[in-house]
Amino acid sequence: MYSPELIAILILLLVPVCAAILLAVCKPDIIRNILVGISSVIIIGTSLFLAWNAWLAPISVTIENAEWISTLLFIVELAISLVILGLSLKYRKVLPMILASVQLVLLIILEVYSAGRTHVSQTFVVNDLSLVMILIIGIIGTLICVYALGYMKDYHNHQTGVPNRKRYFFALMFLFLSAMFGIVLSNSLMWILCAWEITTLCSFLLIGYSKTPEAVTNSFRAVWMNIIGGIAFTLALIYLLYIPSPVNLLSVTGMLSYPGSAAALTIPLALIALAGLTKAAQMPFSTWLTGAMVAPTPVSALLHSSTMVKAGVYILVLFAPLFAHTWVGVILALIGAFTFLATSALAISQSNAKKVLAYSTIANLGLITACAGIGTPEAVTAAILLIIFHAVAKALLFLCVGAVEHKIGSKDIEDMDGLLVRLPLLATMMIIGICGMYLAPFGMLISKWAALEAFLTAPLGVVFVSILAFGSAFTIFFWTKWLGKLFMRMNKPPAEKVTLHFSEKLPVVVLGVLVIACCIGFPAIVFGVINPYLDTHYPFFVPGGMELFSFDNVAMIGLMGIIIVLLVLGALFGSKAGKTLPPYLSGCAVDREGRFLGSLGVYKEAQTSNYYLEEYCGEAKLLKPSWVISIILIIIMLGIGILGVMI
Amino acid sequence: MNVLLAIIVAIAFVIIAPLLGGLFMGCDRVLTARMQSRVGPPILQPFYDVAKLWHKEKAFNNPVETIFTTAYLVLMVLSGVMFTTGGNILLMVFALALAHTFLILAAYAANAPFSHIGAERELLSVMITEPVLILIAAGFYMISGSFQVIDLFKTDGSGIILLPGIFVALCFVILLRLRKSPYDISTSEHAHQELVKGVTTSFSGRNLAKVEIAHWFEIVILVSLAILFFTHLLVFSAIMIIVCFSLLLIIDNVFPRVTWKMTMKSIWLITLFLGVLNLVLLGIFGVLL
Repeated sequence: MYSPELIAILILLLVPVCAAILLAVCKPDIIRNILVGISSVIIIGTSLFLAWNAWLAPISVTIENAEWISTLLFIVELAISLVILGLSLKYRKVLPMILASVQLVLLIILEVYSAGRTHVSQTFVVNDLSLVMILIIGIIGTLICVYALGYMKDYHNHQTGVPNRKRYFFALMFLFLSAMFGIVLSNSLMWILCAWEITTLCSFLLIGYSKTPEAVTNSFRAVWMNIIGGIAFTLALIYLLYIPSPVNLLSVTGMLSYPGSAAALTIPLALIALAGLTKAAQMPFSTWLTGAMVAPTPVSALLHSSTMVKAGVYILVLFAPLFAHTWVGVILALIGAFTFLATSALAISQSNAKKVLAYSTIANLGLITACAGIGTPEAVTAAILLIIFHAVAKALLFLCVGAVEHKIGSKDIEDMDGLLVRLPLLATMMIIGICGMYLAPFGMLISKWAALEAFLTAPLGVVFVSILAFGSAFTIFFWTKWLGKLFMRMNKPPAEKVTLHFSEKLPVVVLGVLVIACCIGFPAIVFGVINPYLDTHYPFFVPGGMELFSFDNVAMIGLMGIIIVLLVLGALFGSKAGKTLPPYLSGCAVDREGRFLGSLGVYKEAQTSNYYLEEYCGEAKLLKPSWVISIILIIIMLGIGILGVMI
Repeated sequence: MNVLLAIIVAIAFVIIAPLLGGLFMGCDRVLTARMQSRVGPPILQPFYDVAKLWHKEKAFNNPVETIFTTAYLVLMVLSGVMFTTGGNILLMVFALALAHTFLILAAYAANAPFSHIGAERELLSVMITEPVLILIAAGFYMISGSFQVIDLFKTDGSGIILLPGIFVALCFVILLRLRKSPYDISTSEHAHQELVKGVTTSFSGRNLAKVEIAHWFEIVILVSLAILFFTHLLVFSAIMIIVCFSLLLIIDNVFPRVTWKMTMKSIWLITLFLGVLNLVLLGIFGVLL
């Protein structure tokens, strides 16, 4: 009676919830391992199946009794608001309390006014964009959960002060997966809002996992910033109720097929843009994401780089066709581009690997936001490519940093010198991840090119191009100095014999392979997935219009790839003949190891450390001006939304 | 461009470019010596140097230096080949950045003070260069509607007329990339200085030879990039190159080295005020042309 697609969708939505409930109940590690393993296999299999079917033909299914589900989800939303309200009361946090109350009131208003008008003709829609997200959540998300099995064991061995709440942890991780599937599968904006709130709650609770004062502060910061997004989203929905329209505007497909001028939609669009900005931690909301790095690393990898923050930009990319040709879109793009510039510079000043990753995440989300705001087919191509490459490479990097932290006892990049010798597997994977983030011929670079090409044809294009030019210069700086550390000759004693849990090794290696696979397969992604998507959403879209995807250029990128492969092979199998000499240290009083000999016979290590350009790029220097600029831009965006100005 | 012609051009580039680059270095050394009232080495000295280095004993601080310097050379050649066969200017810029990344990694690998500071400085200069190169690509795109070098020759507009600001920024970047004073922050011709030989301190023998050859290629690539601004005035460009070269030598000999901060500030201010402004004006008035 149910079609296989619908069953697959229901599995994706319900299996993580069931797994979450079971994980919350079962205590022994062994049962947890089995449960996580089985549900991961089910989720990966189902998402592959669903993605395959959606790729063959976009899926759109309707279920009966949707009203009942809507009511249930409304209760869930109320419960979330109440939980946040309760915790704010418990920890005496005023701002989250006020915002959560506002949110609660707005939700009730929305529910009362929308009664009887929420019927959406298509319950679930899976197009080529949601397909990409399903694969990211289904594969990367579950891999991170598997990784967490081994990681959390070590985590509690290292952090002895933190109470062991692994059941709670894993339950939240799986609940979160279900919410993410809800966001990308649902067509009704009401349902998306509910899933959106669940992700906020999961993020809030997981950031506060260790219950240290810092974690509590940061989790509340995350929650109040995200509630602002939730409020904006709710307001957008309330406003949409008042726009007369032949189609139901409370659904994604309804909004995209709105027959009137997009000028009527600028207010809800600006509000949704604001919601997306908070979720994607764009300036001035970036501090919640950098603060979220106190959470255990799998949380950072899952929520704060590869999936949850992607929900923010996913919504923006979804509505990109509407942003095109509105000034709301252009200002949104400016906020994104500015965030890219500012956070790339901020990343230079950080030596904590997780913070570097956090800033680079925000920067890349900024670039995606910029592309979504511009909203042309070229820009959307760049945005989707960025989403894919970033999700894979960044998840890999987080997992590597997490594992390395447990092996060498530090997540400071300065302590990672010679990692290639000390922890060959992890360092290799880290190198793949870093290269994937910025070097030719890897993926990120392809997407940066696509973005550049898109910017050149956009309004205010020159501004965007200049921002991209300077921003990518910053990214080159902070990634290369990290990469350099990994290749250094070792001046430190090797770490004692360490073994990596199988559950850690597997996801790291699989993700490493995925990074390379995505780079090799990017033409397939563009022609197989992105072009069909653009075809359905842009009436005048010409496939192959972008220069990047011309045969010559793809061939050249391929040639560069082959050269890199040959060089790697050369490094592995080439002649290593030659003498290794101590480095030049000005000649006097130096021993064979490259140490200085002090006057009292003490050996002194020659130490080096990287440039951090604190004077120009430090948080103290850059954060406040960036907040001011971005807040002004947001106010302009909302103002333009109210005026409904079109290009 | 058909494939056969492209291959011939590529081979010609691989043979001729290092000769030109080496000769340039030789002239540079002779003329600099004359300015300082010295006789200077023979004009072919750079070739003798490399030939000698090539036959030296293989020694390094870290075995990975060998592969990294090879990568530097290979990618530099690739970048030049892409350029001279009329290929994509953006890809060329990326290949150039990748080549420099390998040089920097090789310098990092030694984990020693002098080469480390050289690596950091070299990285800074790559960072300082990047925006200008991307703006050049963007500017050419705005003129010709494509990133392909070959298309630039098919359009009526000439770079020097439409993009004078970017051209000036490029000149400063060339000064930086050729490690000429006042921008010789990462290394310089002379080892008697506080950086020793900066980014190349840890290389010796064949590895150093590869770095030298790659540098010759880089000179040719940068000069050809400058020539691209004169697509319709190739004769004029020859005069311009000679003028610029003389100017470069004088600047090199007159100015002392500035700090990296000063380097960054001065070049980026020029990039912003001349380069970006140039593009903005082109964007506004480009429709009229």
